[in-house]
Amino acid sequence: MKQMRKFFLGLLAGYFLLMAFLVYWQLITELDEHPLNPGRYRIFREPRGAILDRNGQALAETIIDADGTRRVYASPGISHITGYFHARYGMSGLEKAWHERLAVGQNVQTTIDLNLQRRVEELLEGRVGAVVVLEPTTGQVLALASYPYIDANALDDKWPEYLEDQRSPFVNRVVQGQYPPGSAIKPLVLVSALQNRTVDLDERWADQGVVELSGRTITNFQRQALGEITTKEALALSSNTVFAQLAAQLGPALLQTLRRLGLGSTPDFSLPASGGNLPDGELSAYGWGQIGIGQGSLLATPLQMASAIAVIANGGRLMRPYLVEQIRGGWRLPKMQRPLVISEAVSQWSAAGVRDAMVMAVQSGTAKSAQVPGVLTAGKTGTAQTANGRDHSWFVGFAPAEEPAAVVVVLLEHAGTASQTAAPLGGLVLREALVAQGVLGGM
Amino acid sequence: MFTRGGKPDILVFAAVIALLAIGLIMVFSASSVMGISDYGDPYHYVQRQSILAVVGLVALFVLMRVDYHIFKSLALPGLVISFVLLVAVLFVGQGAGGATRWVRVGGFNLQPSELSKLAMINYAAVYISTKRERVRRFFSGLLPLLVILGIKFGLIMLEPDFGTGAALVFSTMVVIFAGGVHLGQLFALSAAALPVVYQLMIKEEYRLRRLLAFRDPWADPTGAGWSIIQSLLAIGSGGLFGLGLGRSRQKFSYLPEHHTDFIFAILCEELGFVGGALVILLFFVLAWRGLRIALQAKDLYGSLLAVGITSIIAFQALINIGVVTGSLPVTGIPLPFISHGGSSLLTSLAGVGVLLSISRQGKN
Repeated sequence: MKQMRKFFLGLLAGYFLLMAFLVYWQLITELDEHPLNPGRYRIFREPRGAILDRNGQALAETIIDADGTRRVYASPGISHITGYFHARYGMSGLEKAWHERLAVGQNVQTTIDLNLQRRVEELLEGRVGAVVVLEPTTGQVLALASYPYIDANALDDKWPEYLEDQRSPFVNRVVQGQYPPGSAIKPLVLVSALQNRTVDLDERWADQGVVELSGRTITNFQRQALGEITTKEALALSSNTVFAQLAAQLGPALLQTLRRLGLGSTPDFSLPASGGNLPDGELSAYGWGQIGIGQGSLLATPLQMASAIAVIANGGRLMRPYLVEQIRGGWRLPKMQRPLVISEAVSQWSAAGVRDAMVMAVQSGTAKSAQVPGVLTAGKTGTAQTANGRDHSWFVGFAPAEEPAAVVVVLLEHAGTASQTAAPLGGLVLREALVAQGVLGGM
Repeated sequence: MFTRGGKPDILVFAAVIALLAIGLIMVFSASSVMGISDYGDPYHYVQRQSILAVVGLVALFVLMRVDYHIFKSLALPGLVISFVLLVAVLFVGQGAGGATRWVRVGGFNLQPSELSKLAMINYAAVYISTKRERVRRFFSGLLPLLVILGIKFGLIMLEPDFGTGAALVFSTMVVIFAGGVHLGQLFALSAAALPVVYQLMIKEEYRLRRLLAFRDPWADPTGAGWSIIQSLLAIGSGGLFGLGLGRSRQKFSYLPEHHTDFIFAILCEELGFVGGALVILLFFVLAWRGLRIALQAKDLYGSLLAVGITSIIAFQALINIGVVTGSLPVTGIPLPFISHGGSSLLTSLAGVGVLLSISRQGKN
């Protein structure tokens, strides 16, 4: 019978091995993340928290009925905000960023105003570009549209089409599109000049339609000579010659201001964002002149432009832009985002001066087509030359000028002259935004 | 017939009750989805299993109080009956998955191979304890027993049911080994049996494929490797504490046999490493106490019977968990006390009843 002890030891070794296998498979390998694991796909059939707008309307919600479990999105273009959540195509955007919270039934409340968002998407429909609406005092994003988009409700049918689309519908142009700002940069150049006291708003310039800087020329739009104008008029009429000279005078001081306004660095945002580009090192007078009219190596995203223009609207204060306001529900603690002042980027006085010049641009300058009836509006157009094809068309602006409730940035790719494209669209979006913000009565 | 002995081994009893409880909970959890889809009733499988558990427990309590020496006289009849049933199953049996393993008796499917394990163990224990020293002689001693074992294994392999057959051979060998047979003889025989086993392995194409799949399941993840991979994915998803009771994902028809042979994978998925390790520990306690009962048994017969019963259960658990964790090639064998399946449950509980009876008469 003493042989039995050996047998017992053998058995013991066997069980010990089983325990070791269990340790290996359960605690060491990561099979729960294995691509063949169907468990990974069960999340797509389970209840899930909603993504809500600022008033509690659902941007994305899970509906479970007789037809099964579906994730339903409030508008076709909303996926640039919410992302998508799909058994075959995985997840993206907020759906991915907040998956852990959504999966346990928590809701993600955004700062988006769904009614405004829908109107903005309709206005942009069919035009390759981006529109973003910010609340300047808080930095909250009220609407964010990028065209083309992928319709998260139609992925099953349209995915292959989206993959083929040369216009890159997956790219969110508001946060990831990096464009030369063209003349839309001029309010920021002006604020730098006022801040550095290199110019007065009423200083007089003789605009001959062309200026020579370090041996090369910079011209106005269609070489038009604007004659004797003030600095303020130079912004309103978008004089390249004046702004090239202003920038050349400022030199590195201009870069410093642009950097303080958030250009050239990746913003800490609720969605993956790009940082654009600022030139580094020394430039020739011509090189600075190019920066002063928004060309050269200067690149910015529409979100960066909106954030910087919001500084003008906000009396010099740079707010952190954000999209996700709070996460709550379920057993986990809520998480909140409050408005965050990044810095007092420029003085109130400088900001007010630029605001006045931008008001003039809408009243009697190049941005007239952005006028909102009954509301004093500040704005600036930008027509940026591109290496290929027609110019990009920008509008940046805010209203009401005295107490801004909304900042709007419009970018239309290769749309041509901004005063005929981006500016009118910017005016329409501003109007909708003011209705949404309760400044204007509904229509 | 009933004895007034000492107290039964409480640890064996506790381990079995714990395994039975875990088993019923897991059968319910694992079979509820299938119960709904097959019978519109999530309780279908667990209800049947509970009834059999009660019947098995009654058998356990009765057998625990019976003097196990009465089974000495049942050795030959038991053997004959089990042979008849094993032959019968080949003709009137019912099958599943390419094998014929059941006969229907009174509304329940009876699996003769399960029953025949106990019969074989008992016969071997009687044979060796009666012959004593003579069993050491090869032709008049060991050979007849091995021939009987060989025929039985052959019949079970005709169903075919390799897992049960292997457990039968293993546990009978352990009984013979414990009976004092020369190790040399046993090794020589094992060596002689190897070609037979090899032939059996590669004769059936599915068995060969399973063997190859065992070596590298990921080579054919949707074919031969499917069961192992799904099983490993279930186990791997469990982590330390599991997904929580009832939250298995693999039971949604990804893992075949998830309420029977692969129930341990679902257990690991839902209860995590903690649950899986507890079950292994309980089987270990059972093996340890079972062998202790054997060492302290009143006589050689009781000792051998205890060894046989203990090793059947211990081997089945070892093979089952080995298969489920991908450590052994896939072969259908239930996890004692836990897998859904009446014959396995009844014979295991009955066996433990006898084991406890031996413990009550032990030298303690």
